[in-house]
Amino acid sequence: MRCGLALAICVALFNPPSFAQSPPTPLIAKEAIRSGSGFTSPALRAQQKDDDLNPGMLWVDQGREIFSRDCSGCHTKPEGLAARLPKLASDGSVVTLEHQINRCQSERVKQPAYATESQPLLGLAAFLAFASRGMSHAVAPDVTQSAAWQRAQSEFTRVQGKLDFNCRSCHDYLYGKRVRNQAISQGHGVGYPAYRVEWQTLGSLNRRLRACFFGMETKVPEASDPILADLELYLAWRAQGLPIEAPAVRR
Amino acid sequence: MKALAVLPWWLPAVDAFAQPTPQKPLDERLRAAKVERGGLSLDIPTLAETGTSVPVVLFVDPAKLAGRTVARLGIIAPQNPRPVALELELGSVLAQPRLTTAIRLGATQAVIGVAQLSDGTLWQHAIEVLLTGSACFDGT
Amino acid sequence: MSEPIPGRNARLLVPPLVRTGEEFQVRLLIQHPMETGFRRDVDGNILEVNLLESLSLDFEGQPVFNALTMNALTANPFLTFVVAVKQSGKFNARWRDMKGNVGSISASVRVVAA
Repeated sequence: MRCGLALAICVALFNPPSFAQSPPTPLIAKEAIRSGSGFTSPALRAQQKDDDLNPGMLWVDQGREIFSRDCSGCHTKPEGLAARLPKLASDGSVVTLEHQINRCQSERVKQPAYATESQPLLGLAAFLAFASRGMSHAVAPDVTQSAAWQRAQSEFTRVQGKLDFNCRSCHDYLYGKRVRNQAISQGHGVGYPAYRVEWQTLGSLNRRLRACFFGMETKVPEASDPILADLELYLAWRAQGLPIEAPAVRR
Repeated sequence: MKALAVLPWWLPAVDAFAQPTPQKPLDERLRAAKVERGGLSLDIPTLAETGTSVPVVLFVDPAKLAGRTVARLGIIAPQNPRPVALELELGSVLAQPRLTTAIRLGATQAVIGVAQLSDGTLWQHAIEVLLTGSACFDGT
Repeated sequence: MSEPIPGRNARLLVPPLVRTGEEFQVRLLIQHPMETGFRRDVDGNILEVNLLESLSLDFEGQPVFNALTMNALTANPFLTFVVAVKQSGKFNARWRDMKGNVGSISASVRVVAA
């Protein structure tokens, strides 16, 4: 009997519950999850809620025009296209909304790819995200098994920069607390592309992530760095269940 | 009022409630203008989280107009590099003398709303706005 | 804006149908950087000043407002007003910036008896 118990303990120690059976789950509980709108000022929330005052809608209007000119030949409906992204490509890399737009642009429209943060690219991305408003980003059930997710997870939890922060320090543990007069958000990307008053323009999630690195006083990756796409995939996984609300108005 | 023609219409309202000092005597021409706290309200957050977009509502209480109309609305931000933030002439199609917009502020300051009535009277309402810095700097 | 953009760069919103004399909101949103001349780009170069220098809104020739100065309007500014009209017609907004770029947008409202 005693032997049997010891054996059972040994087995339990050397065969811990496998990750394959219980995949990691986001740290923020489903009941507590809130998009960035839950942390902005009432004035910005009001501006986002009202499409007539949301400057991001100007980009949506332009994206709609480009979509009907260049994209509607293949895509009969814009709804839901953005909700399928970001996704894993067969080579294990992550395809973001902006990547997919540029892939179509060079392979289907046969035009040079749009430049990073250029007006037509932001316009199309904003229009497509707007057309998926209310839907959630699709997250593959086995996404946590992917190398991209694991790379992003280690980047998200890696302490870096002059302030000795990782992403978690603020967005998993300190959300709702204030830095100066600003509330720390949970770091979800469902409002992007978003109109940020600090940028005084619309910008992508890619740019927002680079701004995070800047704020952490660490090396800011180039826009094309694959780690940023990996992080977009990771953020979509963290934000499971939150509806897309682009173009959001953010500080 | 005649001499005021060479000065900006809103100028008397900016110093209206300041005590003149020997170093800074109040211009006689400004003293001549009729400035009241009156029926103008400037609605602006007293704590602004970013200077790049501060929501403002300027509105006039119609009950205090007594038959006059609002000819002009202005917003003066004395500490901005360009202190005249906004000046509008109002037209006859307006049903209410009311404006909603958002402005930039370069520093913590008293922001001054000004209305000029059809008889030349100036109404002003100043609000001290504290500008808090950004929590995270953004170099992108 | 260096790249040519198809489509609109402003929104002018009015309700499509109102009653005679009924008060309603007119909302104007314009895509414009309202560059102050004090900002720098990522390479540290000053961004040349380019503010709106004229902006007006009228209803069938009758003025709603005429902006004399817009120094501190935000980038991509919005302005909303409360108006009332007696007959159906069109609102027209026109603007020009310091670089000479002009823009305009219009929106129609239909008035029915109160």
